Amino acid sequence: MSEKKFDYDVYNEKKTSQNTSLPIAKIVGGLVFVILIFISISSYNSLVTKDEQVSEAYSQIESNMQRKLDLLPNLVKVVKAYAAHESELLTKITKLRSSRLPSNVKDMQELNKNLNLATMRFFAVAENYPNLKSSEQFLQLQSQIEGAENRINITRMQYNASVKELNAQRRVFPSNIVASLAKIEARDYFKAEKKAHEKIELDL
Amino acid sequence: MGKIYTFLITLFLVFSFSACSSNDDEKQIYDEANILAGNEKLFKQYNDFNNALLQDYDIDFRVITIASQDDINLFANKRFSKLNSKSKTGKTILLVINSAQDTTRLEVSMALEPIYTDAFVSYIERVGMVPYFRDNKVADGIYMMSELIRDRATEAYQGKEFMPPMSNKSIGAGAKTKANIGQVDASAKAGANVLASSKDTPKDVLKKYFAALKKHNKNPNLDIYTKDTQKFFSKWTVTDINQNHEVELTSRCKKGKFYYTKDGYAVWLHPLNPRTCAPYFFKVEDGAWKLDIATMAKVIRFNKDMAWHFDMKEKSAYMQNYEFSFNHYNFDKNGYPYYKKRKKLRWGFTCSPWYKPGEKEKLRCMITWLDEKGRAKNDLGLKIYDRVMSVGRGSLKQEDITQDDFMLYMKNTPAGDEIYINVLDKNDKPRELSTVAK
Repeated sequence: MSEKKFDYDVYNEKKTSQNTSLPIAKIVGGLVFVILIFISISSYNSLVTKDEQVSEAYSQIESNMQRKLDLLPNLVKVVKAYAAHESELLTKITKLRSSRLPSNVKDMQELNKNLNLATMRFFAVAENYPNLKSSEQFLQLQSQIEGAENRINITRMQYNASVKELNAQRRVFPSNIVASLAKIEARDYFKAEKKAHEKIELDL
Repeated sequence: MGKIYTFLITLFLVFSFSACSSNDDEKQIYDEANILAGNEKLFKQYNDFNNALLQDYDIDFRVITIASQDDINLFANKRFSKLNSKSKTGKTILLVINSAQDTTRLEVSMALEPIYTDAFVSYIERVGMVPYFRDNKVADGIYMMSELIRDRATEAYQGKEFMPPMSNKSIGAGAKTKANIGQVDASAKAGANVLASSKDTPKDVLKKYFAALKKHNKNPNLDIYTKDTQKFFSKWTVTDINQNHEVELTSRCKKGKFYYTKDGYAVWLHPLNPRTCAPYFFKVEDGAWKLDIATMAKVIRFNKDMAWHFDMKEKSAYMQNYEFSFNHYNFDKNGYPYYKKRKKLRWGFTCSPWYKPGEKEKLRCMITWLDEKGRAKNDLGLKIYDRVMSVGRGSLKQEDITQDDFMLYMKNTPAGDEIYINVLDKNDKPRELSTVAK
């Protein structure tokens, strides 16, 4: 009788132990799941914010690039007024005038490079025309072009800093999973032309 | 006990540090290149001027001098982002002068981009500030820049051009230019001579002077200047902007009158409203009237609103020859003029000196003020700008009467006697006036 009672107790004890460990596992599992969800949402939000910052920084570059393109008609006017026979330069600037803003970074870099070359050529040409160089019209145009270039340079750096943050976050766990699930792509850096700010030599 | 000491020392250090950092925030000029040493007076003027700029337009204007090989554009932008600007609406301007590269850049916050465009900034740098740098007057150039910034802010405020408040950020607006420190420009003092003639009146000299200003003639040796003025201009920096400003400011002064003394001094003086119409001094030298800007520069000052006033210390030292024309003014302790309260006068008029062309030695009387309730206006019928030609009648008539004799006649005629005066009005029309003296 007592043996039977003993077995019954063991049985009850086992059953009780199974009953209490099951909810703890469930709670822990649930907590881990909630934490994972929370981390995923947080990663997703952070990625989206950084992606937006990159887009915003890129739009600043676009607007400054447009500012520079808008200055080209004035550049053509000045070249025509003082150095009409600089046909190569006129053709180049006129061609650039019709450029549309590209949607990707690589093409934007290319456009920036061409714009820089054209304006550098313009300033180099101006060296040979003292009247042009000292005219208030030229000096104002020069300051506007330099201003646009400086803005592009500053916004380019701000853009690259935003891209760096986004791309760095995309590479760490669990953001890498969240990014691939949410299709938040890595962005390209806007590289400065190495020779963009150096003087060029021109035969005129 | 040791812990208490440690605590007290830590507390002292914390307070000292916070006091130092708050002082640093107050600074408006960071002379890291040490090119502004010895300009403490100008620093104070600059600080006062910029505090007013901040108070009136919420624009915080800072200056940094450096000697560095870094790209000035990037340096200006980085330093701008670290400025603890006092502007609550994002209006901040930073002037960087890099003495090592001999360049300067004015960095403008986004909120001010439409007001201080790149082209405008480049213009005021080149035409307003760099001419001072060329003459090795960097501090003066900075001060001039702060005045030009204020002028533009005033214009923008009147035209409601300011943008709504935004964060204090710069994306590279502004302009960079060659500073040319100490590189004297030989053409900076060029211009054809303007000759003075013995027939010229001060008004003619003034016309010639403004014509020269309009042509941006910066020749310091113009014949219409006194010798002291020529010396003064040979050392003084003059810019196109200064000259345009003087022409523009003076073109609004329509009510100026010329006051003369017997010994060859004259002043072009204006009523006190507007207070921006400063007096001009003239002096006979080598037989012709000449502009005495040297004395003007010593004694006349302008505040931020371009209201003129005297430097009272300098006035007492240099103004004796021109005091006569300011007799009807009193001056407050800062040298600002105001009208004297007039005592009860017998007749109620002011007689200013005037002379016929070719008779400079004989000063006569022109009526320049009349008491509305006075006897000169109401009983005698005098009018402003009447010129007194003679007094009395018959054998007592005094022709070609001088200013002094006229004043004696009016003063000494006993009560009950008839007064007779012949005048020419402002259109040269003669009138005879009479009344009984009281």
